[in-house]
Amino acid sequence: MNERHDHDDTLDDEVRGLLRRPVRAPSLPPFAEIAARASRTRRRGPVLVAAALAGLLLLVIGPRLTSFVPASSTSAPTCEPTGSALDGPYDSGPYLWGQLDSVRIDPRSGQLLWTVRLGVRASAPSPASIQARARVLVEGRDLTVVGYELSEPTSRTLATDERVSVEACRQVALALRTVGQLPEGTFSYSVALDKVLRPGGESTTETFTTALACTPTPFTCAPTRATGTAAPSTSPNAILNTSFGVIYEGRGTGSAPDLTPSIRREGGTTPVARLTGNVLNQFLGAVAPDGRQIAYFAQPQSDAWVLYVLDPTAGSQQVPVTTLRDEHPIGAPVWSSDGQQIAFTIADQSIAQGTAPAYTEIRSVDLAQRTVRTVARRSDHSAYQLVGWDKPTGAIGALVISATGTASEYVLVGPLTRSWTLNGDTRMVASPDGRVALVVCESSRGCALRTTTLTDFGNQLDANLEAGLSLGIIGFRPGTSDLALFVGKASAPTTQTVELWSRQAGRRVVLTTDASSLDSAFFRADGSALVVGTRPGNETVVDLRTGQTARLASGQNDPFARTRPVASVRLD
Amino acid sequence: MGEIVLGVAAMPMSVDWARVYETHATELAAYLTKLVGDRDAAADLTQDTFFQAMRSAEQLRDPAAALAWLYRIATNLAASYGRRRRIVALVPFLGERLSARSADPSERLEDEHVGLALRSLTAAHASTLLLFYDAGFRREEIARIQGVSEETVKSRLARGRKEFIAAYRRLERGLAR
Repeated sequence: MNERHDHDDTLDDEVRGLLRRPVRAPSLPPFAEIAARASRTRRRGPVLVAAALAGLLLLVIGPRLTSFVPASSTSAPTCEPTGSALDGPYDSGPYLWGQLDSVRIDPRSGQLLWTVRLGVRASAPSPASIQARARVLVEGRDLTVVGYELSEPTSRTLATDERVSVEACRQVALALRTVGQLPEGTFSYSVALDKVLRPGGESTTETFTTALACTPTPFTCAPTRATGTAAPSTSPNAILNTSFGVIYEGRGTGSAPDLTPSIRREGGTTPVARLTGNVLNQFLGAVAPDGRQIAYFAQPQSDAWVLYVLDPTAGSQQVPVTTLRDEHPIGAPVWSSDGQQIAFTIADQSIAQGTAPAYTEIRSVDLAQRTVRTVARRSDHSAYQLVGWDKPTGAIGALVISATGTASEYVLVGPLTRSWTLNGDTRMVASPDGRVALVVCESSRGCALRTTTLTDFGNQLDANLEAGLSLGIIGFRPGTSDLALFVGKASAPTTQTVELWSRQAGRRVVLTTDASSLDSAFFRADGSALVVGTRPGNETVVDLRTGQTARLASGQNDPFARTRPVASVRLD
Repeated sequence: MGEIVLGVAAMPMSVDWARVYETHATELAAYLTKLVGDRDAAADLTQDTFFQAMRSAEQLRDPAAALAWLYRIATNLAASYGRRRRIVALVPFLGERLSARSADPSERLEDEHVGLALRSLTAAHASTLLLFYDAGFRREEIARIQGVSEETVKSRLARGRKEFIAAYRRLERGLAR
């Protein structure tokens, strides 16, 4: 099947030898899981009913306890989870673990009992105080939680707001008792637990989520591995600010509630809003300059893209602005600096099939008038990619991506029309007031940082940096001309820094990380903090005033651990 | 590269996705692992590839082309994944970046260099090289997978190969210093 290319045989052999080196392929699920998922998506019948249970357990380590379970009466010392669980165990941060023991029906009352086992590791600095609070949702409807029971080490009903003390290497089992009508047939539950831990006064919030498939007669439940796993997140309150939300990308393909993009409060573990998904459940969106609204493309149906606007400060209502049929959006939209208009780029459907588009357009929509107009169009098999919207002139800056996938031109469209030729791949960001920062690299010297404006692109100011730098642009700090960058140095190849560069204050190292991985970085919507992720589930929030840091999520067992936080938005 | 497996008992010329998955999922996952450099992401993308292929199976006019179709979907999904990461990815300056990481050119480091060199290319160039040299597709097949002309594939192979080797050798030189 191979056909030898007719150039340099030696080079051919070398490239083939290198590229054919075996890699350890990832483990894959059995085919039945994928077939079932595809089947579920093709025919959404009454058989499959989505249900969700969101629970909240409050765990506090510290002296302020209202009720104690004496150490002598707790279970035998078990520092780590043992035995079989319906789902889990999941790490819930450094001191705690949790698992779902069972879901069963109380034959006398007909109520559902959700038994959760929580354990405290040997490393915990003091006894944990556990307070149960839960919310149960089925198909968006609340199941009423009528009580909480301690089933181990002793069996008794817990009083409202009662806290149970659990020492290190001990565990307890709590049952949440719910009432509410359940759907007939086979249905699934998503189980989430939020927990807060206060070692030495510092609080952390932790969550895990799982999915269960249950049948009513006889009542049985089993985990469904097709959806999420656990989800802890750690969040010292002093640094995280719950007035701001974090937008998370979704996972995989599908419209299940735990797959689409979502917004959580900083340090929160349950979504405050779910966004309509798209083919990869990416967040194809942008936050308005004032940080209060988001505009994004989603696919409520597989054959149409809709541009939505959502104001999380006003609720979770997604407002459709315009619909694309037989067209495909390219990248995220761009807001005008006054937040009144949105620009976006489209191409015909061929781009979704991997072929060069027959045409591409830049369009703008006026949010008050709901009018959409075409600002620019090309039919040369290239594609526009937006850079920014200049405030004073109203001109829109965009890259032209050629059919070979490289940025060939920078163009200005709208009231001003001009173009500049580019050489190859160019990375740049723009601020709402029209400033542009771009990185240009040469193999002989390293990367340079240049600044310019959207409308005077040819006049570029070189930051005059030392040789041997690797640079990655994070973005402009909201409301300022300061710029955040990843910086790698040839002299320190195993580390890299996240730096804030200011004309007035110069360069400042915000965070030092391992050079091997970087995944995401963005400013809090008001510019007071930076969120830096080295891999999904491992994001650090840096308070730019104090330099203090906090973890945004807390480890691999977080159901959001494999979703990527991508932007910040105001919630209050 | 094996031939596509067709269902026998199913409708004439329909694709037996279970056998295709059994036969080709691992090699597709390996392709995606090399392309995106992340095993977890490659696992997700592999599943998404089959999921999308099966969900829109009626669009597949020629079942014999199912394998190329799978690679086409996989390549597009990988490109989307790459675009998501693009804005924060370090612009590579490979010759220097890993120079002091290790004095022992172990196999693991060589593999890392291959991966770094591959991902220093554009997604189009990287996928073209992998489809040709690793997966064993012909140029005309790659043209169909990527939705471009054979001339473009030829150009991508020539330029991608040159840039890949240059990046890999910069890494090797850095290692030797």
